[in-house]
Amino acid sequence: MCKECGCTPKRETLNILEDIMKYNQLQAQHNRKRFEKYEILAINLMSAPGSGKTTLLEKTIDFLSSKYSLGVIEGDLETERDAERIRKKGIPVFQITTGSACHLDASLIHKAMHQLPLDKIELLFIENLGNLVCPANYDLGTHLNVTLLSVPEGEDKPEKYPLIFKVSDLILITKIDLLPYLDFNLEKVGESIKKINPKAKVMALSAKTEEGFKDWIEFLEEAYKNYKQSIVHKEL
Amino acid sequence: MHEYFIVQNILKITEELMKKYPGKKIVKVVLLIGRYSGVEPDLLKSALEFFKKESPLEEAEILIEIEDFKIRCKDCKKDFSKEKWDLSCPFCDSFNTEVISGEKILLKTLELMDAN
Repeated sequence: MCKECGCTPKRETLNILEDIMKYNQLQAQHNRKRFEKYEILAINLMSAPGSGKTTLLEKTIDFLSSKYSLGVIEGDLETERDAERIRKKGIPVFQITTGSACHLDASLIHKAMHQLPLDKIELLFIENLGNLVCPANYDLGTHLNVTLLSVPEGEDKPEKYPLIFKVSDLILITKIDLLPYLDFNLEKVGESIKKINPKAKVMALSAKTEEGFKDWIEFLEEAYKNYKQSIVHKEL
Repeated sequence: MHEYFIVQNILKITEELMKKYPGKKIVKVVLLIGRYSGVEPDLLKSALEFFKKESPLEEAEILIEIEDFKIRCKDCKKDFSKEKWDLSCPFCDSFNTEVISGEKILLKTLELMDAN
């Protein structure tokens, strides 16, 4: 009721139904188009801290760098440490330090893209922040989402953190050289991932012993080949 | 931490929308949060209450509705819900299913009134 004359002020309800994440979605679409312009296959690597993302990347670079031009965007809260490790391999790398933010978003990737020689990159790896929760909500504009789950983390993680597994195209079980020492049933984990995301591929490897590594490299090469073909089809 | 970024997005969208309604203020906002959207409703609400000062939502009542998690089986055509994120069909064990609701974070409605 209004104070002056006692009338009831008119209220109107607007039906909006707008996606709250729309700004990130728009930026992600923009990034994806830009990647396609440069024919870059972009891969988002996500996991908990210490699952071996940087080690996986170092090893992947060893396998692929003679055949493909690679690039890396590193995300961390603090330090250039991970970028330094990649830089030693002679690969163009840009480090995003988020300060206190718990995830990378599409606009941070957009800014990082301007710092990289895009015309000289075929496969771009984005190492997300070590976090099994927040990165799941942010599409970065990448073509593949890959989540690492290391054996020491335990086989219950997919059930505990389903969202990140749900948005992944591939789940990499890492550090399988530790399987003899820990209770981690690969088959059981595979089944629980299937319930969360029936379309996701699951692979198991060790960056240390290189067991299973070939499958991951073949997966990347196949993905890159298919991606290049899909771009050609788009142009036609 | 994550909820703060969602709040920023909500404020940005409402600021953008309110440009079309000069002389009006928002008295109520309804958010529709999917059960599996990755957002914790209570945390989002307290973050929004805290950060709404000097924004178009300053005087708005904040209401959060939870959107149920619903799945449809493309094989046996049945709809179902689950207590956890598990896409397998409880009727025919198929994995050929699709999520109908429960994943999104939406700004559902805004209630406006004259600013004076």
